[in-house]
Amino acid sequence: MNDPSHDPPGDDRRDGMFSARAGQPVGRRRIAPRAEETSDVRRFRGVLWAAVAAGLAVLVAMVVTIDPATERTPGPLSKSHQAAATCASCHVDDQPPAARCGSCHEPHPSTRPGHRRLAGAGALVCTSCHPAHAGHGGVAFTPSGTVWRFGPGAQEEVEGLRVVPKPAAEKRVPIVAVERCGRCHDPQAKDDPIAACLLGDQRELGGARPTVCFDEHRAFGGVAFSRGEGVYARSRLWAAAREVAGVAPVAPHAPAKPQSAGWWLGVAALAAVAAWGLARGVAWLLRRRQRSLAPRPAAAQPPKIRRLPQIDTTTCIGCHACVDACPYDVLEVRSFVAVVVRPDDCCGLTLCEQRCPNGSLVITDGEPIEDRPRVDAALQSLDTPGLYVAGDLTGLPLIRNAINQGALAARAAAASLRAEGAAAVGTDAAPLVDLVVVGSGPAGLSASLAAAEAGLRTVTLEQGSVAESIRSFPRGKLVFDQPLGLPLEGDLWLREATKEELLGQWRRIIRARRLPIEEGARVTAVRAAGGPTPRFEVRAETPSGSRRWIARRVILALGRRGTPRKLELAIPEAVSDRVHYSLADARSFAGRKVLVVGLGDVAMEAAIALARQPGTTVTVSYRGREFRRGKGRNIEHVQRLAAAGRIELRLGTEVERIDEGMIVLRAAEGLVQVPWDAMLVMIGSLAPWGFLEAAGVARARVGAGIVPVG
Amino acid sequence: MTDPWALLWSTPVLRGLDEAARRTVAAAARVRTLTAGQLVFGEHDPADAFYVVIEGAVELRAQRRGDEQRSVLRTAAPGDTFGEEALGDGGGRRGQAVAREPTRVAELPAALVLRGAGRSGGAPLAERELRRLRRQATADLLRTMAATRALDEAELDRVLDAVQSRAVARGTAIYASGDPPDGLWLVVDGLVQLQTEDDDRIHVRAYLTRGDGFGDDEALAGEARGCTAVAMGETRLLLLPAALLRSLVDRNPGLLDRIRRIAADRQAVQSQAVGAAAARSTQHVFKDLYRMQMARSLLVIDQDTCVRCGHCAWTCEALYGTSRLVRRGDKILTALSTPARGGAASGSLRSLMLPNSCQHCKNPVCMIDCPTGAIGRDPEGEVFIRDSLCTGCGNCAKACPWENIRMAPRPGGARAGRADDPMTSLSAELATKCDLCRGYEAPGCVQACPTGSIVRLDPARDVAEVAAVLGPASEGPGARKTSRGWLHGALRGLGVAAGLGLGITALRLQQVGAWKPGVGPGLDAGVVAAVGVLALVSYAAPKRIVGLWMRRRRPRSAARRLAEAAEGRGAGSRETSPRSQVRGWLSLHLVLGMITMAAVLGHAGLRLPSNPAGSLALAFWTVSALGVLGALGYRLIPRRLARLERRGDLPEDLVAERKALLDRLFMQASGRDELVKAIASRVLVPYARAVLGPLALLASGRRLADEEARLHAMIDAMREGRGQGRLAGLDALVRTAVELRALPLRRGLTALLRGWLPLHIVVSAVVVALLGLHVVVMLGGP
Repeated sequence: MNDPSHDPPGDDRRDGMFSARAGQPVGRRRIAPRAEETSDVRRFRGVLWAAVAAGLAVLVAMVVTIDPATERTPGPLSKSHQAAATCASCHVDDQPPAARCGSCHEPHPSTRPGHRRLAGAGALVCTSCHPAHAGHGGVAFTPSGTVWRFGPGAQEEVEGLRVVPKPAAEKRVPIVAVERCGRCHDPQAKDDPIAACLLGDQRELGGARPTVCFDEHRAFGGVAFSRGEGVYARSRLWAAAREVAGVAPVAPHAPAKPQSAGWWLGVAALAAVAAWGLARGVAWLLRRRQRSLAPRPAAAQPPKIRRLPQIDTTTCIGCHACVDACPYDVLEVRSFVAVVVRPDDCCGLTLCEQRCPNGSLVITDGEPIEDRPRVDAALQSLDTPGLYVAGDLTGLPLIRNAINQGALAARAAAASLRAEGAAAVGTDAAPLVDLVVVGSGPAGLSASLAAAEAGLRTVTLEQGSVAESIRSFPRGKLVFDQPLGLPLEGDLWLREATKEELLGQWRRIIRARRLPIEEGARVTAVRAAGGPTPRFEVRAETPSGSRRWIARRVILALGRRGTPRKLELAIPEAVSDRVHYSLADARSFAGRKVLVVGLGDVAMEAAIALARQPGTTVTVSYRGREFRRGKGRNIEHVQRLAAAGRIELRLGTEVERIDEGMIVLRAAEGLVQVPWDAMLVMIGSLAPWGFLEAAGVARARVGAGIVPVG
Repeated sequence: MTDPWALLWSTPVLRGLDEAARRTVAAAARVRTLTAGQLVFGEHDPADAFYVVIEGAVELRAQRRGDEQRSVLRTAAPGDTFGEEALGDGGGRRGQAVAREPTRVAELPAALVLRGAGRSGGAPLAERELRRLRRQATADLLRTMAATRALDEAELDRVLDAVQSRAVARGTAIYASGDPPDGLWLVVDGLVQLQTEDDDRIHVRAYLTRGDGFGDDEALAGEARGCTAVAMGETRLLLLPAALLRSLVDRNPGLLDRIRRIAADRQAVQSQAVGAAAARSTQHVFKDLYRMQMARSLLVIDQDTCVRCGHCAWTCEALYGTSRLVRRGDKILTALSTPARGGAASGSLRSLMLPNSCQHCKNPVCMIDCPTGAIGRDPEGEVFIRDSLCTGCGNCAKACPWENIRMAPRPGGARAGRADDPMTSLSAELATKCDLCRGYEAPGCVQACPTGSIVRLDPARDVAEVAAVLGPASEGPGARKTSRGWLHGALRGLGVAAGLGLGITALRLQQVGAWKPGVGPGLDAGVVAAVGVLALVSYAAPKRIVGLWMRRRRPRSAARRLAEAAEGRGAGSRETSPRSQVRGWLSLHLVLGMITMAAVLGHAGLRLPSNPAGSLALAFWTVSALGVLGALGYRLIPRRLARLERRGDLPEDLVAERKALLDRLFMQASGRDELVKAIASRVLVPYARAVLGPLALLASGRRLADEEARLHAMIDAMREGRGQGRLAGLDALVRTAVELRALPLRRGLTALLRGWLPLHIVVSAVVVALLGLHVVVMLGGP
């Protein structure tokens, strides 16, 4: 069949779908996924509050700033109506407002026959030419000689007229704009009668152009005058009004009320943002409070007594919860009941106990543990004050624990330094620093980070490179995050990640925080100097020669893996570069013959990784006659590979001699020769007790009593 | 009639149970009375119980490999057991069991019997009996398999003695290329993939399912394995050791021909289906065929129309307190088949996302793993969790291969139980998963989708490619009923047309002054607009008040459901294509929006005076603009966005994605050839970091795969044919680089899809407030 090739499985497990590359089981997980509150669910939290707040805010802003009565009017009244008229004066029920003009004004019909005809037919009423709210006002002459050009809701004084009439009482001449005449007249046409009413130079005003035929209602020279004034006085007023129409053709308008749509909507927006923020903030506070109320698991203390899980088989439901919680595969489920299968590997943490759903598993106390440093609750040595121990050395080999302990020790050191006060600066040859961290594994890094945060002058000395013990994990190995039990201190992020992801994150942190880490500096001695306050002399071999520091505090974060246990036989100089103590990248051994010595977890994982490489011949030599320790899945995997012929298992053998081409193994039935290109010696590591004791950290011994936890 | 339990406890397999185990088994067991010809179970039914005949007789019938018809395998008499396949690792029934005469049988849940036997004091005895029963099941199975069906009893006994049963976990290699041959493998249940691997790629040679055999060539020739066999899911196999196989072949020369003929047929079908799918996309269904094989009701979201609003997950959360649906998952590109076209693939390729939501497996691994039996399955195949029995141990959540079960705090919190019986306490946590809203008439997520993008489907029936490879699994109505898409399209089109027409007319009338806000038709338009605004705002009700359309299912008695299921009707009552309820309301909202805009134009024209009425107009037009833009975005963006993503992600996932992708880029380059590193640093990194790159990608309209091809062509042109053999690992780097370039687009487009709606809602509230004020003032209020 043709080749439906799959995409490469990618290093990222989130990339694409499940990859079926052989030997990468993706079946059961050890950690139950938790329900998450995704942004889909959170998205509209607080939006309802924001909406309500915005609506209310805009309402309040408007109700406070506007007067509803004025809102209903289409505009201000012109000067002549302002004093007397209310809305009800003109707007009565459904009658047209023009019908009410007669209540104040006497009838004074138009002088023009055409207009009269229209008025008679009801097509021309007062408001046709004189709209009350949006009219063009007129000119007012006062007895004092002031002339006002007025419009709806406003007036302005007109000065510099050639003739200024001074009537006995105030007189007004209304002005009508030409747009009012547009229904019948064409202002553009020369022969239209209205052309005579327009001033010549105001074409650009368009519809607002004032008409100056003021004889609409009273003929200029006729007999219609009934009261008081003479023709002369009126013609003076008209002439003056005509002049005003020329000077101020457009009626002034009342300025817009100080209302701003933008302002109101801005208030609404502010209220919305505030309400949204408040709702989210309150929810966040509530959540935080709930979290802080939840019992926090205590920071892990190194166990002082051997402890073992005990299982009530009558109530155990065989759910694997404890099995999955255990980092060391101490437990297994057999016949639907959990059993302790590897008691020696038990770390004494109560992860399994916490995980058991129905209390069938409890941790019981056993005998005291011997190999652990005498330290107090803050990890300070009980024998040498100022000296701290963190990480695997304390007897709890978990990466996460190491991170926590490093931070704990550094904070304790910082606190005691604060209590002690400032100190002088040392010499160039032996600079005085606040803190020397020995080792840059998870514990050392975490300590350096915490020290940097506390503002300590710190030096971190690392004999190899950063996190070497983790770097020597086989490529791609999953670094399991434990399901619960240990709160995580500091930023050295750790979830279910591969070794590369973890290292990448650490490198980023070191770069970003500029942590002072001296790589390649092998500490040769840490010596406590006498005196009222703790002082330590730290000596180290660096690539540039030996160096010396005077330190006020020292954190030993050496780890146990630091010095691998070596074979008890001489390795010829010629082949020493073919003997390795860790496996960094199995791919570099592809196609070669490799002998793995040892059958612990590290050795098994290395053998499995090597067996996966094309063309690699893997032989495993182990002293024991059977699998003695290690994780269940590793043993199973190795056995399967051995059955398939990918790994040659030589149990009950020891390395006798190493030659150029052959390694000789001693077995019960005689000597065996194994051809080799490379040898991996993985028979555990030695705890650096000699170094520790020289520095002043004593070992707790059986019968030495249990140190009370402060 | 005698007490059936006396007979039952004396059957060999149950004799070893202790008192506690008997109590549990008796509580869960069921005695069924059958008439002649009645089905006890049908083929492919879930096998979680086995049966003991109390009186009468039951015939087992199965279709032997290569036959067209079912034939009788054996007849079970009183005291006999049948359906023993349940004692294995579950899986479906391999044949049907029919009562030959009026019969009574006891149905015993296999998991409880196994558990009881394992924990009882008489375990060794039970173990022996269980072995016997499994041998019986294996014999029944071998009688149907191509390789062994024609063997006589003596030969079959020899095979049964030598055959080894093996359960293999998902992703585990059964054998790897280069391994010594161990024999002929027969697939009992599950899915096996034969593949060869090189540095970058996996080349799949065949997919093997129930009844298929593989590995016979090498076993007979004694050569090392030429390819790797990987179990794609929990798989059970039988191994016929090589020596046995050889002697079998010597005695039965026709045996091999039969196996190979069937294998050749299967390969022909597969190469056609798989080849076609692989040629057009890398996101094809075969990447996780096991999931397709297992799923009975797979939730898929059509990414081409999904507007990423997350209303599905929100609805789930509103119903159950925690969302059982996480809108994140793998994506496949496939065509759905419709029964109307005879199961042929129809229509264009759809970009379907498979989010985290229970797919109701045919062989649910969670159910097998549950230690308290809290996970059940009703006759319609829906898998559900009984909250009261859940201890929160998380076993099922760890077992589900797709993380579709999640641990969540128990609603109402923990409750301490009686001291004497810890089982009465309720744990603080419990496992949650989708149960298809079994208390309601249809799943909430499907009904809540405003675009009708969520579909529940049975891949073996609805995805043509899966059906072609695996064979149609079950009959039944297709999930894809006649879509109402055209109706919504027509409605919305009409709405837009009406809105535009009315709007333009009204605006014109306003502008010439024929319509005024306060009088006549202008005022009427204002009233229409006000009513329209209120109606538009009330869209929030169907959107957010789930109870308006989530109708509770009419409670039916369990007996009635069982009876209906037995008659094959039960499934129909609930599966009649659940439709989106919100979609109709959204269409209405859109149409109303257009008409209201027209009405506002008729009432007030385009004037925006600086007064309260003007503010109302301004707010209204803001809401309208947001709504129109949102609607356009909903229409245009998803299709483009679907082309830019390899999987479905949530916006918060995308935030961290850039760093992860950059890390991946550098990790993929490490350890590669210098040439590849040079290409990565000189071409791929600048390509991925180009500021305007994403915009260029958007403008080009290319899919990710097209973009990859373009990039490859670019690199090839730069290489001018040099270093051809040193490019291992380049494919992966190019993929990552292209994803990096697409990432800002994905974030931006998702933000566009999701950002406008909260604003739309808030400004709507302002509009309603201002509208109220406007009406009060104009009516001459205070």
